[in-house]
Amino acid sequence: MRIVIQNRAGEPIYQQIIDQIQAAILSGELQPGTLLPSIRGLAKDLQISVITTTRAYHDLEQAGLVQNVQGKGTYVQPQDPALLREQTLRQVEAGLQAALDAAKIGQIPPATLHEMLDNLMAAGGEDHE
Amino acid sequence: MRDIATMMRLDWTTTKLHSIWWIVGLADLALVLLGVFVANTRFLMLGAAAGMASSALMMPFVGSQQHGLEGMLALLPLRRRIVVWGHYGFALSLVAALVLNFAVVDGVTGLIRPAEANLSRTLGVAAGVFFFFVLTTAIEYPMLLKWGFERAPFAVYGTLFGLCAVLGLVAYLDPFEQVVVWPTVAAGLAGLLVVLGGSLMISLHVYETREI
Amino acid sequence: MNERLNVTNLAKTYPEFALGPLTFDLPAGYIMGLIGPNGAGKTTTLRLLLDMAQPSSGEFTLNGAKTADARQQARDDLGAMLDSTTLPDAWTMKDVDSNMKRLFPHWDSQQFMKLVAQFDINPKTMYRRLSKGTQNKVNLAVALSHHAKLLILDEPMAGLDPIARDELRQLLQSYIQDGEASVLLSSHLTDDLAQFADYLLYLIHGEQRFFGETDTLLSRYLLVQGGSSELTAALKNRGLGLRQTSVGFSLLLPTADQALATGLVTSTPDLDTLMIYLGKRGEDHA
Repeated sequence: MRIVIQNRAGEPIYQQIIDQIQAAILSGELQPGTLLPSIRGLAKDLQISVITTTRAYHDLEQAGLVQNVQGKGTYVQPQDPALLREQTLRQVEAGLQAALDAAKIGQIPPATLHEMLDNLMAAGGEDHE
Repeated sequence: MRDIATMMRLDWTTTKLHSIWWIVGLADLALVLLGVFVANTRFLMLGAAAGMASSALMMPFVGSQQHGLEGMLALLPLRRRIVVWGHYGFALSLVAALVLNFAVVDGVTGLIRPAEANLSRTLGVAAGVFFFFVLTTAIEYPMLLKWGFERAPFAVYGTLFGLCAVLGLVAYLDPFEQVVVWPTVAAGLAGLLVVLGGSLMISLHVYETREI
Repeated sequence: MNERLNVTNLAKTYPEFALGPLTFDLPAGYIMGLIGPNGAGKTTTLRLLLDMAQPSSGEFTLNGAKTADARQQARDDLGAMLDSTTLPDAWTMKDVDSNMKRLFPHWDSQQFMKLVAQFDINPKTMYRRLSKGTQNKVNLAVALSHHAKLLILDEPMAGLDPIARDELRQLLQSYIQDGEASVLLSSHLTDDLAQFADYLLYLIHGEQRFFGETDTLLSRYLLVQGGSSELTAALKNRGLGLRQTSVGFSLLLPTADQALATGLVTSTPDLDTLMIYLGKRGEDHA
């Protein structure tokens, strides 16, 4: 299991945890039924606060990706492909909307936006960490 | 009860225990040897006991680097009143031990110089020393408990000086020539108990809210 | 929920300094950092919690005990370390162990000697012969060696190199693993603390400026930077800790007012930056 966080990445740490676990679950790297590290164990391993890991796991549970079982731990939930697709679509939509909002403030014309999207897709849309 | 014993034991172990018994042993030896050559070493013994008791009585209050051990005591499961009782218990046990020591040395010296052996005189002097140091405790301890060692030097040394002067006077006048009068002793003891009791009450009150 | 500490309107007034009122809680199984500039009242706060001084007003419950006497009796459940904590001059580590065994019902000799070794302390050296830093480590080891449910530590990180600080962090995070024990530590090395402290209590000049989850404090303000001409009256009004130089300005802006900083460079400040801009007096206006 792999979770790597960066303090100064700009993104809140709990969000980084959510993103990485989510990615691992969606890609199948983390199979349904897998027991995740305990909230306290993870906090200690990542050298962060218990509240942070608690929040990450809580949000993951809200998103239906994991389930906290009292006294036992947190387990990866089986994912419904249709639901997954729906969620991913929503995420993409949110990302695009954010881009549009930023473009509006910077008064960037639609043509430039399309160009930027094409360039990014051409570059393979690779993971940039 | 057990807590008080624990506190007394703590006082005994935090004082420089090893050095004091060495000094006492050496002093005893020196005094007995001296008794072989010199008469009336009794007064020297008094002086030695006085010196030892005075410094030993203050030991619970002089902890690390001349600060008290209040910082440690505050973190131990000992209630403040227990700390006070324990300190007094320590003082009394210390004085009793030193007086007993004096009596033994005096007894041994008496064997060397039978002419000077005088049981009632020895008892009288032992009682006097005991009174003196219980009085010292009764006067000093409330001050030490309220102000700690660093802030109460004048009070402490002043008491010692004053009482030593009184002791010197008593030794000079040497009222113990007569046979010990038991009613006087009983009255003195009662008075001492009252003073000690009062001192204890003051100390308990003072230490309960003392800032550490 | 189990609370190790429950403080309500705790205050102490000295002739030259007033502390409080302070109100905060520390639930079981969490770490709270007590932060603030030097002289803010951190040590005074801890001394109040340890009943070394009596509060002028307010009250608190520690490990469930509401009175000073009850708290004093329950010292086995509390491990503490302050600058004024001390041990007898002549004691070696072995003396510490044998005496503490008699004093603390839950004393763990193995744990103590393990820490003594880990902290590189010679078990045969007398306390008075140790350096002040090493003496602090001894007192810390004592605090950590009787399974206390609450640790109260005053600047335990001070004087430690980064390696030692990291080791201490590990120790403290392990200490709360069971979800029962909690830790309250004061520190002026705040960046370390911001990482692993669940809660923060932030004091400035005796006043409680913030208490809550670390993340909440850190997301309360934005650091805004811009050119001198971009400094509007509104920014001056709402901002804190304004700094102006020949090359521009910077200030802290409450996140709620972030619209005022449109077009300017904004970032989330780290705890050190936050404290610098809030300063010794917690400037409320630029």
